[in-house]
Amino acid sequence: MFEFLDFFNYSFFNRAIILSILAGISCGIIGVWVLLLNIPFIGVTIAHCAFAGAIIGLFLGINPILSGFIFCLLSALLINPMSKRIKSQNNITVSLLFSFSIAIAFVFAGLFKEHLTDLFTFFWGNLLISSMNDVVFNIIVTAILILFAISFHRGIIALFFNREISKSCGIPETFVFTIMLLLICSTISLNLKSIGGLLIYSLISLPAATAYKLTYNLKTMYLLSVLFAVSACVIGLFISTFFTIPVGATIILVSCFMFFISLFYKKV
Amino acid sequence: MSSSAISLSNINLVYSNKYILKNINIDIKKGDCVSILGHNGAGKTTLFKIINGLIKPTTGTIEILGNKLTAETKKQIGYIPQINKFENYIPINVKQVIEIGITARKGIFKKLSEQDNLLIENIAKKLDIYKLLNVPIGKLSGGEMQKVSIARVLAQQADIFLLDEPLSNLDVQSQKNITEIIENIHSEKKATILIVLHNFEQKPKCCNKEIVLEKGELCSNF
Repeated sequence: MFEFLDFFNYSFFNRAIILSILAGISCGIIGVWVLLLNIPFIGVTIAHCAFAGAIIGLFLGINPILSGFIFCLLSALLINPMSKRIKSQNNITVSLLFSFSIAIAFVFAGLFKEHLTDLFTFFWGNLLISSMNDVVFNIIVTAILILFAISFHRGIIALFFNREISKSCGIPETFVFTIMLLLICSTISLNLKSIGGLLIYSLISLPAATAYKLTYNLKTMYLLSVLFAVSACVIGLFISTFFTIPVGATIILVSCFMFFISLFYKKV
Repeated sequence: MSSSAISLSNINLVYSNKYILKNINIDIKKGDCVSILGHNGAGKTTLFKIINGLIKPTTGTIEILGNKLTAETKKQIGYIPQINKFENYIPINVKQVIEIGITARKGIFKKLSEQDNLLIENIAKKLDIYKLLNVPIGKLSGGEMQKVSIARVLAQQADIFLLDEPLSNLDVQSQKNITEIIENIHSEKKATILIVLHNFEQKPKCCNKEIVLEKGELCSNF
């Protein structure tokens, strides 16, 4: 036990705790958006496009967070025009982008001869290797996210209710939705290294889904989603450190466990 | 000042080389109550979406209260889509839905004033949904949800109401209630009302004009 508490003496562990709290807050908020805007497939696809972008960036020697963000944003902006072009529902475009991103990520991963540890970090994440820069960027994005969620609250509710109605009565629906997409992309990209490209979407969707199972109140849903995401991150970090297992995967397993528990509770 | 509420000139909508709407010319005066009839796929809902700017026509012009369709003029249009289009799984209550009408009118950043809260209460009392203000929308019946939608548009203080099949999927009593509410809005607020109907017999008494669409073309406009 004493040895375990000794971890707090190390700055990398304290940074990991701060990052896990920040990741929990940001993923908890955008999880509510993705769920209530009813765009789960778009969410999972842009998360995997970010992952592909990060792997390509790593291979080309570009900042992987930046390349991940660019890929993520491009995919988010491409979905609607592509669907119009191929005259289909978003689902076909989303499936196409999802398959493409996974394929291209694995092709580039196969080309790696060295820096394999860096590569695998973007697969399943590692909170323990985060830098001070990661913490600073996460603080900035989380602060912007909270500020936006509060100041645009009324517009966001209108979009949740019905995007068509919002647009028809002059609410700046496209503007609000675009900022939401930008913030979703930023959050995903910034958490690729800590949570992992293959797992980040689970941290976005599971806590929000758990919160949704428990409440009819939007504010409570936001709070519960953040609470579950932060708890999953912190508990996952401690368990993974104690048992020396991958941290990203442990966080997702804790989130899954919370979701299963929520199935036994009645919505109030 | 223009006496015209909605003016559509030479509206054509072409999709995949097929006319969805063809040569539509309509002039609806302020205070008119117009029923829009037609079979499935006749273009009734598309016509509504062109009026409120959700769909851009291939050719033609739209004027609302004498002005071009902009974000500002859209505030004058209260749109109620078909009941099955509502996202009733969203964890928000009746009051929050009605507030969307106020958000549309005042903008997304302005807080609700005492006057706005009073307006919501008055509207809710009038439509007999006051007791439902804190009820989540997922727990409402079809008729109650339709009343909430009308309350949202009343809170928006829109001059033009676009009601897309407001009586569909409702039981007979709810249909009667909603029809009465529409008639009251028309007589008290002198609002311009357009109602898409499937069944001619459901037409509210206040309807003074009728538009019949068939395969995207105007069959009658009187």
